[in-house]
Amino acid sequence: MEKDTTNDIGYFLLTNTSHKDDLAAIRSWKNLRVAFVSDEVWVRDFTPTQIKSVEVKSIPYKTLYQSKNSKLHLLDSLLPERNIPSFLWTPIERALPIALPSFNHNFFGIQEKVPIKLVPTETEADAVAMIASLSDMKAYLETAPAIRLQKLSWAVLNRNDAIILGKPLLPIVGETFWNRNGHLLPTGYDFQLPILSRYIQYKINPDSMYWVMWNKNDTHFLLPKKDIEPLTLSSFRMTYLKIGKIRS
Amino acid sequence: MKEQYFLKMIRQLREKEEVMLYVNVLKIEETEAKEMGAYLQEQYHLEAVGFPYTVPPFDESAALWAAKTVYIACQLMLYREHMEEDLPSLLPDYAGKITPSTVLSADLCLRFLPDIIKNLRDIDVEDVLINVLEPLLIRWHYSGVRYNLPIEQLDISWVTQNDGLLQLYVDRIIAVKKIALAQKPVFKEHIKANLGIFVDDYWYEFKNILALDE
Repeated sequence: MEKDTTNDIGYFLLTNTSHKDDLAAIRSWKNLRVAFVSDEVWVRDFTPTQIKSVEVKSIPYKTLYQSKNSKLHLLDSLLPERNIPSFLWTPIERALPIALPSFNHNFFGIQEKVPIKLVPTETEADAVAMIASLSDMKAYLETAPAIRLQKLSWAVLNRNDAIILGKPLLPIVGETFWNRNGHLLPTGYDFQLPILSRYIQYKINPDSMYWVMWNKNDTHFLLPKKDIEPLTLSSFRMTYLKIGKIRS
Repeated sequence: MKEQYFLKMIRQLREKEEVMLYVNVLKIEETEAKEMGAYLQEQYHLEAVGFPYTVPPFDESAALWAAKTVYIACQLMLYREHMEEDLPSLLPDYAGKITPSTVLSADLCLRFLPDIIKNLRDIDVEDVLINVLEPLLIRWHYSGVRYNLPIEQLDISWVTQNDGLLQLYVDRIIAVKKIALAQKPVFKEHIKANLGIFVDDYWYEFKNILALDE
């Protein structure tokens, strides 16, 4: 039967060659045909459903036409814009072939770096170390039972603070830390990539001579294990006396 | 210069925890006693650095008496030339009062008395000397916490006079895990406060005592 040419509305899509890749979404519609003219890409034979589909709407930098009486009108426009071009049309599958990217055998990602970051965590862990002020420690230790100090050891950090290691810790105010593979992390914080903790430990502290102490701002310092002494009242009093002399 | 056997023996005992007897001399010279006093005072102040609360002053006479007692007890262990009746006069009890000062000063040497009694008992269970030394330890029971003392005969009243002494006493009970003493109400409350919520970690048996109360 003869086609009704008067009612034959065809849809066209025009885009630039540089945006050819954006047509990937509609490549699977086998009814489409494509033509390349200088730097223009033409696609035709859309069905009315296809031209209104999300796939077409999401293609950027496109111009849509509809053909009436061998003239091209902008979609939904009554004014003809140009004549229907006569090109060499090829099915879209052949016109836009798929090319698989070749595999790079030499890619090792050597240049890539992972920043070490601490992030708040919900996981519960026992505190095994705390930084407390010497004056707070003095107030407690002067009357402390010896048994509470038995499992603890300590080292002076600076003129005002000391670090206490062990469990259970003293009932005084201080910043607490927990242990992950030799890292002393602030309680409530963990590495963003906890799986790397052993590797970080190996990089920072290969001989395990130190405790690696982490601050909340992702920085760390090393605490030599040989400088840590058992915590006793006499050890504390002697040290406190010496620090007092340095201060004055 | 005369050999100072007394000083040498006590020094050896305190520093190496060994008894070395040189010769059978029970008499102690005045000059040697003076030197001994100085040595014990120095030792006391070294130890006192680790005493909680304020430290009671050193009491030389008590410390000297304890050193002499230990020395003579050791001498009698090896050389027994006296009659049984003379033993109490060789080992008199301390004449002064028992105060935190005297207890802590005497403990410098008296702490070795339990081992001496144990040795005497190994040699001869019925030795009269044991009967002379045990009452001393009962009176000065701070030095005998680890010894099997008859608990009901102990006079606890002077322990609670001084916070520091009480704390040291309780530390010693916890260190040797002496359940019998821990059951005394005076100590029980204090030990309970000391261990707090960590009873399980430090002294599991003590928990059973607390459980009995409930």
